[in-house]
Amino acid sequence: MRVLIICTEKLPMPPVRGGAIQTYIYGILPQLAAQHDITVLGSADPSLPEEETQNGVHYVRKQGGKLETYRDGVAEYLREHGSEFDLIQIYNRPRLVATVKEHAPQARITLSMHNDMFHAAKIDPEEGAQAVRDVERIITISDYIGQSIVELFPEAASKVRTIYSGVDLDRYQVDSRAQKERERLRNEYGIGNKKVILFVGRLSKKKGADILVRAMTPLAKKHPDAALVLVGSRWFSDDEISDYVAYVRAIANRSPIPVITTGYVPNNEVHKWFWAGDLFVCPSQWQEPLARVHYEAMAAELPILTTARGGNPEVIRDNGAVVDQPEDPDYFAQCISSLLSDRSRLKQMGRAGRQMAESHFSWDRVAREVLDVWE
Amino acid sequence: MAEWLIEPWGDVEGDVPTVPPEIDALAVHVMNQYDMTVSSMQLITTKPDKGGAIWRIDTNHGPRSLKVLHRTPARSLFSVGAQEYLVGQGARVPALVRTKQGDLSFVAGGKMWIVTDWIDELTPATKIDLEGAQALCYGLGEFHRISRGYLPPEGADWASRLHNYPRSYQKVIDKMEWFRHIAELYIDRPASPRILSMIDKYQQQARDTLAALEASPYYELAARGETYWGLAHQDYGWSNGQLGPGGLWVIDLDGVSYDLPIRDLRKLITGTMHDMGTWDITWMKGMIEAYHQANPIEPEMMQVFLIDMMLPNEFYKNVKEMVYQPELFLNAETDAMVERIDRTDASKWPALQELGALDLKTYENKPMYQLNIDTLRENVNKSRWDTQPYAPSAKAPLSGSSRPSIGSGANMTEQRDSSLSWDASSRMEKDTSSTRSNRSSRKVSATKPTITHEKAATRTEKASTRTSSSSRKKRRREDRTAYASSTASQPKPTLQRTKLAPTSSTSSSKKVAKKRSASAGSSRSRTSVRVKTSNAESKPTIIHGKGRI
Repeated sequence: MRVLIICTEKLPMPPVRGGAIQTYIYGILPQLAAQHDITVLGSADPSLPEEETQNGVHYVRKQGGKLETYRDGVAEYLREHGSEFDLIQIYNRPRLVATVKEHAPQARITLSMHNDMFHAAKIDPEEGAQAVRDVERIITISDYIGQSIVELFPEAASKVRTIYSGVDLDRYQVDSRAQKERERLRNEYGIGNKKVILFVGRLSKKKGADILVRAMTPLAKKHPDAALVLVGSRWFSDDEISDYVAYVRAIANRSPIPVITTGYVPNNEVHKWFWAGDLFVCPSQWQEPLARVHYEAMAAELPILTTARGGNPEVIRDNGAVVDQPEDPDYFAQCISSLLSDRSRLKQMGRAGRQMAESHFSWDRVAREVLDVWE
Repeated sequence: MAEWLIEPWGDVEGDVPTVPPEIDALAVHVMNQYDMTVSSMQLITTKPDKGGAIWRIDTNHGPRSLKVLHRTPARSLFSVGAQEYLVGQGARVPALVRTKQGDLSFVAGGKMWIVTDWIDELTPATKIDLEGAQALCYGLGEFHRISRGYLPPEGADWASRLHNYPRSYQKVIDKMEWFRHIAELYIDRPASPRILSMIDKYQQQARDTLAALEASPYYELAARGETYWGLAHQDYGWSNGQLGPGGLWVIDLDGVSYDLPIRDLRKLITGTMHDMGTWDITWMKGMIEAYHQANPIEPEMMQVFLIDMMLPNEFYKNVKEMVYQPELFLNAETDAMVERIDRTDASKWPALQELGALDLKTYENKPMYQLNIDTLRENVNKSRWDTQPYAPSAKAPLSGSSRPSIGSGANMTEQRDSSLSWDASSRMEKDTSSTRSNRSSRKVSATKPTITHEKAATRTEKASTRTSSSSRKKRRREDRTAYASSTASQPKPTLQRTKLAPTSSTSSSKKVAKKRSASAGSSRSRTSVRVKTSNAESKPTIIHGKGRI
């Protein structure tokens, strides 16, 4: 088939500037391209040409930024090329469905949903209902996302299917090289023998970094040898730091347990920090679709403590635990404490996570399921 | 050549303002876009922490100002469009100079640049007596009234705070928790014990204020839409409102956004009361009355205005800095400051009560204030306040006969001459005499279009605005339609888009005074949190996921 993949207006493809959706698409592209003739339409970037072919995938880039601008670019491309495609898969932008339908009426349309873009705040409910009618299938990255769409549009029920995301199993594989890297990082940051609690993500209230940092004070009573590492978050920088980051920094500076921030870590380096940790904690406070970091922790054999928020608990079985009252730092500390107290259980959870990742969360599996939807 | 992008280059401006050499180079490049010969330029002030700067440039067309706006170009475009709209409507704001290409601005280094004329005649209104404050308030009212109907050009951000009151109140409540945690952890610092002892009280005030807002006509007012209310300056005070040719000039418009107009007035009044150290009812009434003369405050708006004053604005504003460097911030000086805030706060509630908005009750031996809309309505409608209604002795051309009349209309001074000069009785600082003579020689009004101030039809659609941050795009569409329909019968279209008509040259102005930029807190959407179960004693139950894989 000739397939067009339409990305969002936000970040370019390939994921030279990161992005969960971009990482997802890039992870499955080789397998998709092996079976079909794939064109990827995405947003422009100064470092990338307007059009090119890479590894058998054709890339077309239109000005991004605002959806309205991007949509005009999509329409312009489709006016000329829309009739060439058998299937068009739109990523996370139900607001592009009408444009696609108009300019490529012959194509089958599928939608891949990664967060709450069907919410009334993001799309006019009438337009949303029309988009549901116009698409053949709606792939979602978690049951939670699927359910929240069906709650808004009950008629979507028969079209929704969860396809969990994946992870690069090779990159995160724990081997002798990983062990060396673990030691190097732990020595470099002066946390050699400590129990390292790992947080990876933006410092934001939604992500709950403040709760986690505050949990360190009660945790210190039982685990004075713990350390908290916040990866990917900017502490000191030339840019204006937000008041929230300043707040987290202020409380971290008085933490009895060392709190370390690594600053920005590029996508292709972040796996090393997963190797360096002992317990991965996702303290998210919001109804999160299902954060990618869970798969990464699993692939790196890291036990997970996540929160009963959104889709996050869906990928927790023997590989970790779920905090049901994540807004309470004392309670959070008790949960962390009980896990840290049982080293052998931590190891077991880590191994179970790797097994789950291997059997369920490879990019091959994701690609197979997407191909299955296309057939 | 890859474009050099302007980034913040420091924290605070030194004794002499400086910018990186790349910005100087960009400035030259920008000036070349204009039909003018520049003989000298002088850097006046900078915002190193944000990446903004202002120069005075001497050109063959006289002195002008060159300014690089620190916000994103799309955001700045909103403000530049607003400035042009206001000039077109006859407001006393600096007129923009067009580029050779006919544009109102030029983007270089990733930021928007503008050129305006420069005038030296601006004088701050006196801060030591009520007259000065009233001049400021009257000018503010004019500014707000004239700004109604503005629509931003295509490609501009939709800068609106109209619907964010509940969210920003909630943010105040939430951040009190941050302050509490910090004060607890830094309890060894001088200011911490006092701040800690104050937080409960001010957090409760914020909660009560939010509850009062929720029960107020706020949502109905906000639902009238952005173009109905027009713009708030967001950083208005003695330096951004100054006396000049024809009356009060409003400068530094880069931060304007749609809002309820009373936001600026509230900030001006609560800030002034804070500076005075006591809530002075005479000043408050005088300032409100002066504003009211220029831009009538309807009773429902008055209620929201008083609610906005109930918020612990000054406590919040002055302690929120603690998150940055708590070790330094929580010193003895801060301790003295918060002690003063607390003392000032004691006079706030009787003052608000006297304004007629509040009924004093006691509950568990604590004074409780409840809004009393009936008293309020009566007060506003009958203008019962015992101060003399404020009236500038002569009227600005822009406050023409179309000025909406208000309840206290009998007290309004109606004068038809079009050149505004402040009455001698309006005490001004001594050094303004030259300004005045200067002013009288200018024919400000002659070249200005007359204002058609249309009172847009009152639309009280409750609409879906309670979902605040939500349907912003939709609202925008609705708003445009709504405004278009409300003005459909007007002879003169006021919708101005990208191609704005060149305006007659009016003198413009420049800010020299430096002040802290009141950067508004980023709006963060609130996390929805499940209600926590209460059984705190129980052991942590770690529930394992039931997720299907």
